[in-house]
Amino acid sequence: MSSTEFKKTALIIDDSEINRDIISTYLEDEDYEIFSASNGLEGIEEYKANKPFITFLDIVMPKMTGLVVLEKIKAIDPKAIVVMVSSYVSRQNIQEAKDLNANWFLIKPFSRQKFSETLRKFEPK
Amino acid sequence: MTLSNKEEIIILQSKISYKSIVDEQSNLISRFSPDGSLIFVNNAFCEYYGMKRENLIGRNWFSFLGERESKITRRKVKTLSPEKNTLTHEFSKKNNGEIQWMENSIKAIFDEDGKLYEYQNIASDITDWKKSELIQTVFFNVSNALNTCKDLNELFITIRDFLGLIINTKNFFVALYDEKKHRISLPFQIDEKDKFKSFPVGKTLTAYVIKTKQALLATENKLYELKEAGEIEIIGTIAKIWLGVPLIIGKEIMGVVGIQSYSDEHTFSEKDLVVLEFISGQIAIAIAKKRDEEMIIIQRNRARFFNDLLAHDTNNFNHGITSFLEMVLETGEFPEKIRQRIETCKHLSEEIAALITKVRLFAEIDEEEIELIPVDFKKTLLSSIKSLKIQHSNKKKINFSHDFIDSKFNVLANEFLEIVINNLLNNAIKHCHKDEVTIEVKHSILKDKNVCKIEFRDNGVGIVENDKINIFKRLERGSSEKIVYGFGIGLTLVKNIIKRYDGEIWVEDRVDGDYTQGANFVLLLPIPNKN
Repeated sequence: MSSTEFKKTALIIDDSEINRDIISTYLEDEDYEIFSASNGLEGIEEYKANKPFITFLDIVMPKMTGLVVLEKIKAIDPKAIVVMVSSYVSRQNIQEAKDLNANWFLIKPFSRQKFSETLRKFEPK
Repeated sequence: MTLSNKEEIIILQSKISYKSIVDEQSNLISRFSPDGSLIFVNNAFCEYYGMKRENLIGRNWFSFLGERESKITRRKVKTLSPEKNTLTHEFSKKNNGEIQWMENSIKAIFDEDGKLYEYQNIASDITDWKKSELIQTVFFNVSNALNTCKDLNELFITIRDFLGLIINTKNFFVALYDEKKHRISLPFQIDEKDKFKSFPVGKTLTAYVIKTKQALLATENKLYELKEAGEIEIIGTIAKIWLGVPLIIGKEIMGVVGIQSYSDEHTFSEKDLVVLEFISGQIAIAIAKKRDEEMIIIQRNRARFFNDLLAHDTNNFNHGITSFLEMVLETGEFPEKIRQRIETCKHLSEEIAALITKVRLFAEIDEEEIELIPVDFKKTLLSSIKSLKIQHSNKKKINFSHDFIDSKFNVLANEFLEIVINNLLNNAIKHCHKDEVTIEVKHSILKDKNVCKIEFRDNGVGIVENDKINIFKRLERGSSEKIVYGFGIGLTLVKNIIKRYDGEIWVEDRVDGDYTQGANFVLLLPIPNKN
């Protein structure tokens, strides 16, 4: 993605309101426009409607897991940047997410610094 | 030369005597010409085939063997020679529906010129011996199946198949008794007529066996007698013969294993009852074992559920606490004392998260298969010390040294090696009350073994003698040792990881005999052949 196309937009898909709030706060401070969804289905719709620059996706969610959502987002846009967020990731989860081309993992609890470092990894220089 | 009358009498007497011996033999004795025509048969031979001697003489001996065996035996007898003139051959054939085993000892008789002129055969009925041999094999295979079958259904199928070699198992069932629900279920049933999943105990035949705790072999008439006596009620199609044996473990009656025939009341005998009784013991053991395994799985799943709940949900809340405290610290102007307390809360929250991760890893290490691969110990060590130096930069000065000269040093491990090194280094820093922490890492390769010894030597508070074993034992089931506080579960986790690497870990005094001079944690780790 070239820097001219870069728009600071992010999608948060997480069933926990607290976690959406934390990531939103960090993103607002980074001047991001934020879209959020509390479940997988809603998240996919938000992704289709807004095509965000980066998506923060919780792995453990009721009804549709983050891994299923990841697969669907990657089917819509194979170049989508998706950061998997979870409080615990088993080795099996990591492998499955890697197989589905997840771009990064953020394991909770993460600090603002860790979050910012993650953003920097993907933002155009 | 002619024989005298007396000599002729002696020879005749001798002939009569030998004929009598041959005739009274229980073995089937016969003689036949090279083309197979019978020349002589004894009484046992006549009785066995139910024919008179005069009707047997002249018939072809091979024709009594059946087509297939006849061909095989003809081929074999042709190989006989004056040098090797005998052979033994076993074969089976069906006689009145039952399999019969015979052993033939055939001798070729040659004249002085080496010309074949007759065969002699002594045949023995070895059916009983063969049956008992087969029963032994069935028992062995059934016992073996207990360990090889992956579930009860596979075991029942296997047992039925093996049992079918000695008993008619066309209709075979295993019934389990649920004392609380007062019902009988059929986890396995192969039946020509009826299909039941479960039924109330009632006055069924199975219930009768459970009540009496005795095996029952009953023909249709006997079953009607039991019905007339009010002992049982007939449910489903009545069998011509029914054989049921209780499944008993200790004093507990678990159910019944049964076989039945709808067509022939002679299908089973008392001998079959004995065989089924033995098999019932094996089935009862398998069911008990399976129940125990299922209970373990239920308990393991429950433990996993709580573990996941702890790891995910608790960590989620904890993440909220940590992050918001961090935000509060970023934005607020607080008196120093308040700031310190908020920082302590944040630190404690981070410790909770670390503890949760360790507990989760603890379970994962126990459960998962580990594939050992070459991992660069030196690189992992240097990366760990780098991040620990940053973490502790405000609190302590860390003097770290190591003796790895080459650019890399591989050990056989996996990604958990980082946890091992982090824990050992962190403990060395945490348990040193001096301003300067000294950590030395030394290594050596043990002679003639693909094992390396790595020592973590520190200048901390050291470990008293009694605690040198206990510090690795936290959370160990059945351990009556007191818990050594301060080390958390980190070292138990480390020990479990090392164990999975086929390695070893222990702790010594850095200065032998004086624990106050610091500790020396020693690791033995496997290394690849070429390092």
